[in-house]
Amino acid sequence: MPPEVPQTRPQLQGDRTAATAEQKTLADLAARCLAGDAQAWEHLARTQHRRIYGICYRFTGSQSDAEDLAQEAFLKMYRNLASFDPEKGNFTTWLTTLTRNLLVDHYRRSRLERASDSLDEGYDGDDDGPTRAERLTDDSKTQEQHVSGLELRAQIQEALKQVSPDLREAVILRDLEDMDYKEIAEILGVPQGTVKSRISRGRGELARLLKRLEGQVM
Amino acid sequence: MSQFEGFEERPAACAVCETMLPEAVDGLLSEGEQSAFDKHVAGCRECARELAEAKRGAAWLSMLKSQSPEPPAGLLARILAETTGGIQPDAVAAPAASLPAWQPQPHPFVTAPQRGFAGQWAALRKQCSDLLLTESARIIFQPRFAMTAAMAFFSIALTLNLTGVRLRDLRASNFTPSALRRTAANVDASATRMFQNNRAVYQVESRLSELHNDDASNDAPSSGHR
Repeated sequence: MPPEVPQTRPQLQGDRTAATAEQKTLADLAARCLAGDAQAWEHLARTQHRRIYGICYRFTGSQSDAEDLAQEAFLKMYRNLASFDPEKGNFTTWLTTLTRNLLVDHYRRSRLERASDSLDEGYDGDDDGPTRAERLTDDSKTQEQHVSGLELRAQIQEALKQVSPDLREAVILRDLEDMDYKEIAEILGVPQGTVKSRISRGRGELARLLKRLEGQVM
Repeated sequence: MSQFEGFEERPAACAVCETMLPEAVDGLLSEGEQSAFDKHVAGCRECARELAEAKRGAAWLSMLKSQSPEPPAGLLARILAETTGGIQPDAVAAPAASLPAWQPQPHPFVTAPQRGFAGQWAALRKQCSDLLLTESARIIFQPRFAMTAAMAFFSIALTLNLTGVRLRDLRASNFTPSALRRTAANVDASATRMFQNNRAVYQVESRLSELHNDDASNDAPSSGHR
């Protein structure tokens, strides 16, 4: 049996109104920043840095990388705030797109390093070594460790890190950031059909990676 | 696209089902769509497996979502320090060049007209002095430009010296209209005098030459008749 299946998420009118009001507030803050209001900038950074750090951490799985990327995202936002146009889209989508572009750049930069690492692993000749999924669920760990929330979340995070990057970003935005398909399509620059497909495949890939863990939790 | 790979081998209903899959997991299908989806999944093993996997994946993610990652304590301070030079003293301050274009900066050509001519003149003078103090000064004091300027100065000084102007004796009073007229008249008179003197010298020289020639011609016949 899988863990608790998420409840359905009907878009309530009240939620939509609150979200619109929040976006209006953010757009106003951005406008105040452009007018040179330092307090508005501080408020914007204070309210947004947690979410941006969260996206970076979920994507990279590394605290130090996430910290560097979040800092870079805010520096980029600070320099490019004038390019935010409230008529073209909401602030959250704009900032997430900016962060996602940085994540893609970071992924491309580190891809070569990862490629050389995997080559090294190959030369080590450890053909009988554990698979990715097996490494996630090391049998030497006790049942209690697996069941503890912290350890479990660390395992899920580790598995998420191994999901293909184009599927990973889609599920992060959908399932962890609660964005709708249209917003995700806008951020990723792909059609909504592609977004839906990536979300399904990303969820499926994660479930397969965590299959062994599932048996131990249940 | 890679996500549509393998669709050819599956019935069209499965492709439709796959399109509806995320919405089915998220509970976003309408009643009619949901019943059509359920009907297909009940009879299709492959789609049922995909649905089960997608649901499990979403469940794992909802578990992960229950605790959002906590950013490091100093992150906000570092962000502020990097951008506005904020509150973290040990953070590295961003260089001036990296400051955004939207940072409010008084523009002289926008603000000057509001302050009248005096304001404009002051702004202009400040700009000129700034220019001399910074980039232009750096260019002017390069050795090759300095040498050119010195040569130009010497040649002007030499020309003025020849025309009777002594740079050492120059006073502000020398630049009044009457003084300038007087200087011009002096230069003119000097030139005329030099020309007249030279003419007198040439006339004397020419006369002497003629006398010499006359003497020579008178001597020659007389010696022939002798």
